[in-house]
Amino acid sequence: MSEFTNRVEAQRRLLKIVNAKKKHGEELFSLSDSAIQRWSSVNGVDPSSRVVDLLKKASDRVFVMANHSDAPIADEYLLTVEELCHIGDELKEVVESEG
Amino acid sequence: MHVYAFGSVCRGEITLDSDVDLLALVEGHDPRFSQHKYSIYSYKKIKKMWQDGSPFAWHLFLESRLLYGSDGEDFLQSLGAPAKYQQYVADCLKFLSVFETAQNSLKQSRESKVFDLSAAFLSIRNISTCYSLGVLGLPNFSRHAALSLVDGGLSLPLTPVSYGILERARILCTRSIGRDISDAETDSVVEEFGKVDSWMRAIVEHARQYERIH
Repeated sequence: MSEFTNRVEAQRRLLKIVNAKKKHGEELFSLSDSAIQRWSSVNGVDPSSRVVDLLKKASDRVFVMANHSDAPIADEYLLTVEELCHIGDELKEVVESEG
Repeated sequence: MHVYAFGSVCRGEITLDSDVDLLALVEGHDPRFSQHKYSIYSYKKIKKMWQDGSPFAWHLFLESRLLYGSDGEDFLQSLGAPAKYQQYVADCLKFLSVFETAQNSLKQSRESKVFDLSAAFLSIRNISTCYSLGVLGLPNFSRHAALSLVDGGLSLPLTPVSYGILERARILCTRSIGRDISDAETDSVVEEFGKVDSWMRAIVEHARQYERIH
């Protein structure tokens, strides 16, 4: 897969984790800074909560991936993919524990 | 260090919902530049993109304006024109794949619906840009590049209402401005996705034919 499709897939996976919980009125649209801010504000989610913190971390990682398209097998890139997977797993746990 | 503006503002395509795209060229990590505000590239990477003749290199070459250069030079213009763009078939196939993945995601669930609609809009726009650059030789980097493909039976088969919903999704994902998209609106767009899929496949086929001849 290309860097572009990797990035799209990584975002989609994380969005589905957050949006699978139907308790929020408005879905999280993307992992952009402004989307995370809007989601947190519209749904009354504490901006200092663990969920928002993890989303911001994921957002940074997604953009880091965007800046490494010419080195998809470099260690740093692999670490980022791995990091995103860990963030996704943690996000799932946090979202599910919130009921 | 060099800082450029590029994209819609350099084309004079100003609307209430357009933003200013900024590019930063740096030697190494520079904490002054946020990845959320700038597209950040190393000089090495930019030179590689120029050598590959990538659409982004052509976009910058044709539609960027220097805002600041630490050496007073316009680095991008000093590189001259990028190499000929040759990866158009592979790129068109890539965006067809992105579109089909978004379509499948929407069929399975609505848990990332705005993102999927936005990905569909982006793939429609990008396949049009790649085709206009690689095949037509008339590069169009506009957000509405798809609307200018009118020759060869390649008019985008989407109603203006559906196109507007996809564009709204894109703006919601990038700038988070605008009204959320309802399930009914999503359903109405998805109904037209079969025609869009065929349209994208026709673009790929045209690109392949062009590649065989040239």
